[in-house]
Amino acid sequence: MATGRTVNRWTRIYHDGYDISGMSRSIGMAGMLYDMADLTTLNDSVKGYLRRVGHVNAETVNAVLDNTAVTGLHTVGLTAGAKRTLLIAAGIRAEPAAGDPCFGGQFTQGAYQLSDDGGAVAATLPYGGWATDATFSHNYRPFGILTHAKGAETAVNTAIGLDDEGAATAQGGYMTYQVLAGNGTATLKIQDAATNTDPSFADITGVTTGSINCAVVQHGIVAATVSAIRRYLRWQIVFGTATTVTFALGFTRG
Amino acid sequence: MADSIKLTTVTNSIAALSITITKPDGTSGTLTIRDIDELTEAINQEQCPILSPQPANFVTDVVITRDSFGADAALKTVKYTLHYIFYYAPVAQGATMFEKYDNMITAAAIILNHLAINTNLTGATDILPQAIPVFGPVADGTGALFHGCVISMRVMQYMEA
Repeated sequence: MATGRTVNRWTRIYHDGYDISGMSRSIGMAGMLYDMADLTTLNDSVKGYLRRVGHVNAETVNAVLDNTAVTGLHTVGLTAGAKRTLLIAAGIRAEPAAGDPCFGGQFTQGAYQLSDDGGAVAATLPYGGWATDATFSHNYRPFGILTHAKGAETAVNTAIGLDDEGAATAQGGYMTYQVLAGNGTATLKIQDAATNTDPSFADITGVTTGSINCAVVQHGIVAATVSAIRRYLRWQIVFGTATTVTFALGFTRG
Repeated sequence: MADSIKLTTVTNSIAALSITITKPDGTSGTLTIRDIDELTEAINQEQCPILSPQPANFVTDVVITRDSFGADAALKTVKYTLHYIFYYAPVAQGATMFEKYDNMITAAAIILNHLAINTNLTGATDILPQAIPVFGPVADGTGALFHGCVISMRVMQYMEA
């Protein structure tokens, strides 16, 4: 992973288990925005505000119409009103790598709209915000790190992990997973450790997909059921009947 | 990291590209791409095809912009255009003057396509072929004419990267 600035050509968008980067032109603004209550009193010299409810959203994917069978945006994004699992990976002047920033969650796709854009046929997917029927209600900051960049794995992870925060945290977290291909069942997890050595890593309680059939696309978010997240993070896979799984994982600390 | 303009790194990266084209003799082979320290006044027929930096106005349209606060320490972006001459075959190589012209166009299209799909070059934050300002006879340093064209590439680089 590199550090510093980047350009949008290295952004990748995973949508319900499909990589729609090659059909997307822009996304966002993705992030968290708080309503602010104006609590200015008569004798305040400046206006005063208090934070109300946060709004987490990916806003809008601006894309091109692509009706490629199975993987085209006109197929995977056609149904408006659906809950979508999004994982946005921001590669730093290179293809997204483990440790790069990411944004993930489940959002309600409010529409699927075609329009003309200077002669090109564009497709727009506006998101309404964090889905009420998401796997859990959001109480985290929505930005995390990519613990596994899109790619295939055929063996369990014995490598050391990532130091995304510089210290342990105590507010839980959640995993966003996107399984793009595979040939059987497997379980994806996030592990943490206090020291960055292979034997030190252990599963974060709750942060597991359970056994899923990776022969079809899979996606979702899973929250930790513990608050303490140790300093170092890494991806892990337990193979069932699968021998290869192609996936991307993000983890967001609370 | 200190700022730098990685012009020579980019030319090294371009020279290291491996592009397979059909040569004027009909065989398939790797295009010779010269770096800035490999320029020659004359281009020999047997060396063709060659993609070589255009000595006159090799770098044009240089723009440096400040992207953040910080005066000298500010984040900055440099953009510039590099011009390469593609020498495919001497004019009149063959039975007629334009016998190799269509082959040159085919080869130029392959080069442009390769440059458009290989944009992750060391030294550049982004690079894309931008234009073909000259398409037709191009001259080497001695004035000999070749079927070929000038290919321009626009480079963007974050100067701290």
